[in-house]
Amino acid sequence: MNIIPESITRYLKDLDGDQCADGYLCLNDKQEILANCGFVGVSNSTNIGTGVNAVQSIPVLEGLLPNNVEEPSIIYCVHIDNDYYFDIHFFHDSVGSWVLFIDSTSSAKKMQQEQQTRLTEDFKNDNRRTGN
Amino acid sequence: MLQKKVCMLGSFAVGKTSLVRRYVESVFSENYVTTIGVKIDKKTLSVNDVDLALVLWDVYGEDNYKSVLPSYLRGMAAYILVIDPSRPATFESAENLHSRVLETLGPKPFVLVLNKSDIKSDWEINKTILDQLSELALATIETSAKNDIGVDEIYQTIGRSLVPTAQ
Repeated sequence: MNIIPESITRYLKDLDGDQCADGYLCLNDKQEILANCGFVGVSNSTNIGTGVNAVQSIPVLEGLLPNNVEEPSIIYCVHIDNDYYFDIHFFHDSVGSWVLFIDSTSSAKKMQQEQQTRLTEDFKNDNRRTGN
Repeated sequence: MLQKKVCMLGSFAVGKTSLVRRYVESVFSENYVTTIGVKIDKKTLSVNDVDLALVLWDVYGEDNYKSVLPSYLRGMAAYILVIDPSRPATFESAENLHSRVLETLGPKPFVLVLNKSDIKSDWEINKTILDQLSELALATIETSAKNDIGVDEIYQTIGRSLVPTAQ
Protein backbone atom coordinates (compact mmCIF):
# COMPACT_ATOMS: atom_id res chain seq x y z
CA MET A 1 0.00 0.00 0.00
CA ASN A 2 1.40 3.41 -0.94
CA ILE A 3 -0.65 5.83 1.15
CA ILE A 4 -1.70 4.63 4.60
CA PRO A 5 -4.65 6.46 6.16
CA GLU A 6 -3.88 8.18 9.42
CA SER A 7 -6.53 6.09 11.22
CA ILE A 8 -4.57 2.96 10.39
CA THR A 9 -1.20 4.46 11.26
CA ARG A 10 -2.57 5.49 14.64
CA TYR A 11 -4.11 2.07 15.29
CA LEU A 12 -0.96 0.17 14.32
CA LYS A 13 1.15 2.40 16.50
CA ASP A 14 -0.97 1.37 19.51
CA LEU A 15 -0.47 -2.31 18.77
CA ASP A 16 2.42 -4.20 20.35
CA GLY A 17 5.14 -5.04 17.87
CA ASP A 18 5.99 -3.69 14.47
CA GLN A 19 3.10 -4.52 12.18
CA CYS A 20 1.84 -3.18 8.90
CA ALA A 21 -1.48 -3.73 7.19
CA ASP A 22 -1.53 -5.63 3.90
CA GLY A 23 -5.05 -4.56 3.05
CA TYR A 24 -7.84 -2.51 4.54
CA LEU A 25 -11.47 -1.53 4.22
CA CYS A 26 -13.19 1.55 5.58
CA LEU A 27 -16.96 1.13 5.97
CA ASN A 28 -19.94 3.34 6.69
CA ASP A 29 -22.85 2.56 9.03
CA LYS A 30 -24.48 0.41 6.35
CA GLN A 31 -21.34 -1.75 5.94
CA GLU A 32 -20.71 -0.20 2.53
CA ILE A 33 -17.13 0.28 1.43
CA LEU A 34 -15.93 3.88 1.59
CA ALA A 35 -12.28 3.11 0.85
CA ASN A 36 -10.17 0.02 0.33
CA CYS A 37 -6.65 -0.87 -0.66
CA GLY A 38 -4.03 -3.59 -0.64
CA PHE A 39 -3.68 -7.31 -1.26
CA VAL A 40 -5.45 -9.94 0.79
CA GLY A 41 -3.79 -13.19 -0.22
CA VAL A 42 -3.94 -13.30 -3.97
CA SER A 43 -6.92 -10.96 -4.13
CA ASN A 44 -6.39 -7.28 -4.83
CA SER A 45 -8.91 -5.68 -2.51
CA THR A 46 -8.69 -2.46 -4.50
CA ASN A 47 -10.57 -4.26 -7.26
CA ILE A 48 -13.65 -4.60 -5.08
CA GLY A 49 -14.80 -1.02 -5.60
CA THR A 50 -16.43 1.47 -3.28
CA GLY A 51 -20.11 1.80 -2.46
CA VAL A 52 -20.68 -1.95 -2.44
CA ASN A 53 -21.66 -4.01 0.58
CA ALA A 54 -18.54 -5.33 2.28
CA VAL A 55 -20.03 -8.65 3.40
CA GLN A 56 -21.39 -9.58 -0.01
CA SER A 57 -18.03 -8.71 -1.58
CA ILE A 58 -15.87 -10.43 1.07
CA PRO A 59 -17.76 -13.45 2.48
CA VAL A 60 -15.25 -13.96 5.30
CA LEU A 61 -16.81 -10.87 6.91
CA GLU A 62 -20.24 -12.54 7.17
CA GLY A 63 -21.48 -12.22 10.75
CA LEU A 64 -18.52 -10.05 11.81
CA LEU A 65 -20.00 -6.66 11.02
CA PRO A 66 -20.93 -4.15 12.28
CA ASN A 67 -17.79 -3.52 14.34
CA ASN A 68 -18.05 -3.07 18.05
CA VAL A 69 -17.80 0.72 18.37
CA GLU A 70 -16.44 0.52 21.91
CA GLU A 71 -13.33 -1.58 21.44
CA PRO A 72 -11.26 -3.15 18.70
CA SER A 73 -11.31 -6.88 18.11
CA ILE A 74 -9.03 -9.30 16.31
CA ILE A 75 -9.58 -12.63 14.63
CA TYR A 76 -6.30 -14.50 14.37
CA CYS A 77 -4.95 -16.86 11.73
CA VAL A 78 -7.70 -16.70 9.15
CA HIS A 79 -6.72 -18.94 6.27
CA ILE A 80 -8.31 -17.25 3.29
CA ASP A 81 -6.71 -18.95 0.36
CA ASN A 82 -4.25 -21.79 -0.04
CA ASP A 83 -1.08 -19.90 0.81
CA TYR A 84 -1.99 -17.02 3.10
CA TYR A 85 -3.07 -16.45 6.68
CA PHE A 86 -4.28 -13.10 7.98
CA ASP A 87 -5.11 -11.58 11.32
CA ILE A 88 -8.23 -9.49 10.76
CA HIS A 89 -8.46 -6.40 12.95
CA PHE A 90 -11.69 -4.45 13.49
CA PHE A 91 -11.79 -0.99 14.97
CA HIS A 92 -13.90 2.14 14.81
CA ASP A 93 -13.10 5.84 14.81
CA SER A 94 -14.63 9.14 13.71
CA VAL A 95 -13.87 8.36 10.05
CA GLY A 96 -15.67 5.03 9.96
CA SER A 97 -15.41 1.32 10.70
CA TRP A 98 -12.10 -0.20 9.73
CA VAL A 99 -11.15 -3.73 8.77
CA LEU A 100 -7.41 -4.43 8.51
CA PHE A 101 -5.83 -7.52 7.05
CA ILE A 102 -2.38 -8.17 8.53
CA ASP A 103 -0.39 -11.04 7.08
CA SER A 104 0.37 -13.71 9.67
CA THR A 105 1.41 -16.46 7.26
CA SER A 106 4.92 -16.90 8.62
CA SER A 107 3.91 -17.34 12.27
CA ALA A 108 0.89 -19.45 11.32
CA LYS A 109 2.98 -21.90 9.31
CA LYS A 110 5.46 -22.21 12.17
CA MET A 111 2.58 -22.91 14.60
CA GLN A 112 1.17 -25.41 12.13
CA GLN A 113 4.40 -27.41 12.06
CA GLU A 114 4.66 -27.48 15.86
CA GLN A 115 1.01 -28.37 16.28
CA GLN A 116 1.20 -31.04 13.58
CA THR A 117 3.99 -32.86 15.42
CA ARG A 118 2.21 -32.64 18.76
CA LEU A 119 -1.26 -33.63 17.57
CA THR A 120 -0.04 -36.47 15.35
CA GLU A 121 1.53 -37.97 18.47
CA ASP A 122 -1.65 -37.34 20.52
CA PHE A 123 -3.71 -38.98 17.77
CA LYS A 124 -1.49 -42.09 17.81
CA ASN A 125 -1.75 -42.24 21.61
CA ASP A 126 -5.55 -41.98 21.41
CA ASN A 127 -5.63 -44.89 18.98
CA ARG A 128 -3.25 -46.93 21.13
CA ARG A 129 -5.53 -46.41 24.15
CA THR A 130 -8.59 -47.61 22.26
CA GLY A 131 -6.69 -50.35 20.43
CA ASN A 132 -7.61 -48.90 17.03
CA MET B 1 -28.38 -14.03 -2.06
CA LEU B 2 -28.95 -15.24 1.49
CA GLN B 3 -25.58 -15.82 3.15
CA LYS B 4 -24.91 -17.36 6.57
CA LYS B 5 -21.84 -18.21 8.66
CA VAL B 6 -21.63 -21.82 9.83
CA CYS B 7 -18.82 -23.14 12.05
CA MET B 8 -17.35 -26.65 12.11
CA LEU B 9 -16.55 -27.51 15.72
CA GLY B 10 -15.04 -30.58 17.34
CA SER B 11 -11.87 -31.98 18.82
CA PHE B 12 -8.71 -32.36 16.73
CA ALA B 13 -8.61 -35.02 14.01
CA VAL B 14 -12.34 -35.82 14.10
CA GLY B 15 -12.66 -34.99 10.42
CA LYS B 16 -13.92 -31.40 10.31
CA THR B 17 -11.61 -30.39 7.48
CA SER B 18 -12.26 -33.65 5.61
CA LEU B 19 -16.01 -33.06 5.78
CA VAL B 20 -15.62 -29.54 4.41
CA ARG B 21 -13.24 -30.63 1.65
CA ARG B 22 -15.55 -33.47 0.68
CA TYR B 23 -18.51 -31.10 0.51
CA VAL B 24 -16.82 -28.12 -1.16
CA GLU B 25 -14.19 -29.80 -3.36
CA SER B 26 -15.42 -33.42 -3.53
CA VAL B 27 -12.01 -34.69 -2.42
CA PHE B 28 -10.66 -36.73 0.48
CA SER B 29 -7.12 -37.34 1.74
CA GLU B 30 -5.93 -39.88 4.26
CA ASN B 31 -3.15 -37.51 5.39
CA TYR B 32 -3.86 -35.69 8.63
CA VAL B 33 -2.94 -32.00 8.34
CA THR B 34 -3.85 -30.04 11.43
CA THR B 35 -5.81 -26.81 10.99
CA ILE B 36 -4.39 -23.63 12.46
CA GLY B 37 -6.80 -20.85 13.36
CA VAL B 38 -9.67 -21.12 10.91
CA LYS B 39 -9.99 -22.04 7.23
CA ILE B 40 -12.86 -20.39 5.42
CA ASP B 41 -14.72 -21.79 2.45
CA LYS B 42 -17.96 -20.90 0.75
CA LYS B 43 -20.52 -23.14 -0.90
CA THR B 44 -23.89 -22.30 -2.34
CA LEU B 45 -26.80 -24.69 -2.10
CA SER B 46 -30.47 -24.59 -2.91
CA VAL B 47 -32.89 -24.99 -0.02
CA ASN B 48 -36.65 -24.78 -0.62
CA ASP B 49 -35.89 -23.06 -3.95
CA VAL B 50 -33.82 -20.44 -2.16
CA ASP B 51 -30.13 -20.00 -2.96
CA LEU B 52 -28.19 -20.06 0.28
CA ALA B 53 -24.47 -19.33 0.53
CA LEU B 54 -22.82 -21.09 3.45
CA VAL B 55 -19.64 -19.42 4.65
CA LEU B 56 -17.98 -22.38 6.36
CA TRP B 57 -15.56 -21.68 9.20
CA ASP B 58 -13.46 -24.79 9.72
CA VAL B 59 -12.15 -24.03 13.21
CA TYR B 60 -8.99 -25.59 14.70
CA GLY B 61 -9.67 -28.45 17.09
CA GLU B 62 -6.74 -28.01 19.44
CA ASP B 63 -7.49 -27.21 23.07
CA ASN B 64 -4.55 -24.87 23.65
CA TYR B 65 -6.39 -22.04 21.93
CA LYS B 66 -9.42 -22.04 24.22
CA SER B 67 -9.23 -18.32 24.83
CA VAL B 68 -9.35 -17.56 21.11
CA LEU B 69 -12.41 -19.66 20.22
CA PRO B 70 -15.12 -17.07 21.10
CA SER B 71 -13.82 -14.68 18.44
CA TYR B 72 -14.22 -17.40 15.81
CA LEU B 73 -17.81 -18.01 16.88
CA ARG B 74 -18.84 -14.37 16.47
CA GLY B 75 -21.78 -13.94 14.09
CA MET B 76 -22.30 -17.68 13.66
CA ALA B 77 -25.79 -18.63 12.49
CA ALA B 78 -25.45 -22.37 13.11
CA TYR B 79 -22.78 -25.00 13.69
CA ILE B 80 -21.80 -28.55 12.96
CA LEU B 81 -20.50 -30.45 15.98
CA VAL B 82 -18.28 -33.35 14.94
CA ILE B 83 -17.36 -36.42 16.97
CA ASP B 84 -15.04 -39.29 16.04
CA PRO B 85 -16.64 -42.19 17.95
CA SER B 86 -13.50 -44.29 17.48
CA ARG B 87 -11.89 -41.85 19.98
CA PRO B 88 -14.15 -41.69 23.06
CA ALA B 89 -12.54 -38.47 24.36
CA THR B 90 -14.08 -36.57 21.46
CA PHE B 91 -17.54 -36.99 23.01
CA GLU B 92 -16.51 -34.96 26.02
CA SER B 93 -14.82 -32.39 23.79
CA ALA B 94 -18.07 -32.01 21.86
CA GLU B 95 -20.01 -31.55 25.09
CA ASN B 96 -17.55 -28.86 26.23
CA LEU B 97 -17.71 -27.09 22.89
CA HIS B 98 -21.50 -27.10 22.95
CA SER B 99 -21.35 -25.51 26.43
CA ARG B 100 -18.86 -22.91 25.16
CA VAL B 101 -21.23 -21.96 22.33
CA LEU B 102 -24.10 -21.62 24.80
CA GLU B 103 -22.00 -19.38 27.05
CA THR B 104 -20.78 -17.24 24.18
CA LEU B 105 -23.78 -16.92 21.88
CA GLY B 106 -26.74 -18.62 23.53
CA PRO B 107 -28.63 -21.47 21.83
CA LYS B 108 -27.83 -21.91 18.13
CA PRO B 109 -29.07 -24.61 15.74
CA PHE B 110 -26.56 -27.42 15.25
CA VAL B 111 -26.18 -30.78 13.61
CA LEU B 112 -24.41 -33.52 15.55
CA VAL B 113 -22.11 -35.57 13.32
CA LEU B 114 -20.67 -38.98 14.12
CA ASN B 115 -17.90 -39.16 11.54
CA LYS B 116 -15.74 -42.06 10.32
CA SER B 117 -18.61 -44.51 9.87
CA ASP B 118 -16.22 -46.40 7.59
CA ILE B 119 -14.55 -47.71 10.78
CA LYS B 120 -17.77 -48.20 12.73
CA SER B 121 -16.48 -51.46 14.19
CA ASP B 122 -14.01 -49.31 16.18
CA TRP B 123 -16.64 -47.01 17.65
CA GLU B 124 -17.12 -46.70 21.41
CA ILE B 125 -20.28 -44.70 22.02
CA ASN B 126 -20.68 -42.52 25.10
CA LYS B 127 -24.43 -42.96 25.29
CA THR B 128 -24.97 -40.34 28.00
CA ILE B 129 -23.34 -37.54 26.06
CA LEU B 130 -24.73 -38.76 22.75
CA ASP B 131 -28.29 -38.78 24.08
CA GLN B 132 -27.90 -35.36 25.70
CA LEU B 133 -26.53 -33.72 22.56
CA SER B 134 -28.89 -35.54 20.19
CA GLU B 135 -31.86 -34.23 22.07
CA LEU B 136 -30.69 -30.67 21.47
CA ALA B 137 -29.48 -31.09 17.88
CA LEU B 138 -31.46 -30.58 14.66
CA ALA B 139 -30.33 -34.07 13.69
CA THR B 140 -27.66 -36.65 14.46
CA ILE B 141 -26.01 -37.91 11.32
CA GLU B 142 -23.50 -40.71 10.83
CA THR B 143 -21.04 -39.78 8.15
CA SER B 144 -17.94 -40.87 6.35
CA ALA B 145 -15.97 -38.12 4.66
CA LYS B 146 -13.78 -40.90 3.24
CA ASN B 147 -16.64 -42.71 1.50
CA ASP B 148 -18.83 -39.63 1.00
CA ILE B 149 -21.67 -40.87 3.17
CA GLY B 150 -24.07 -38.46 4.85
CA VAL B 151 -22.02 -35.38 4.01
CA ASP B 152 -24.57 -33.57 1.86
CA GLU B 153 -27.21 -34.36 4.43
CA ILE B 154 -25.31 -32.35 7.08
CA TYR B 155 -25.36 -29.18 5.07
CA GLN B 156 -28.87 -29.63 3.72
CA THR B 157 -30.12 -30.05 7.31
CA ILE B 158 -28.27 -26.94 8.44
CA GLY B 159 -29.49 -25.09 5.36
CA ARG B 160 -33.14 -25.90 6.08
CA SER B 161 -32.79 -24.38 9.56
CA LEU B 162 -31.38 -21.17 8.10
CA VAL B 163 -33.81 -20.53 5.26
CA PRO B 164 -37.10 -18.96 6.31
CA THR B 165 -40.01 -21.15 5.36
CA ALA B 166 -42.70 -19.70 3.08
CA GLN B 167 -45.76 -18.46 4.96
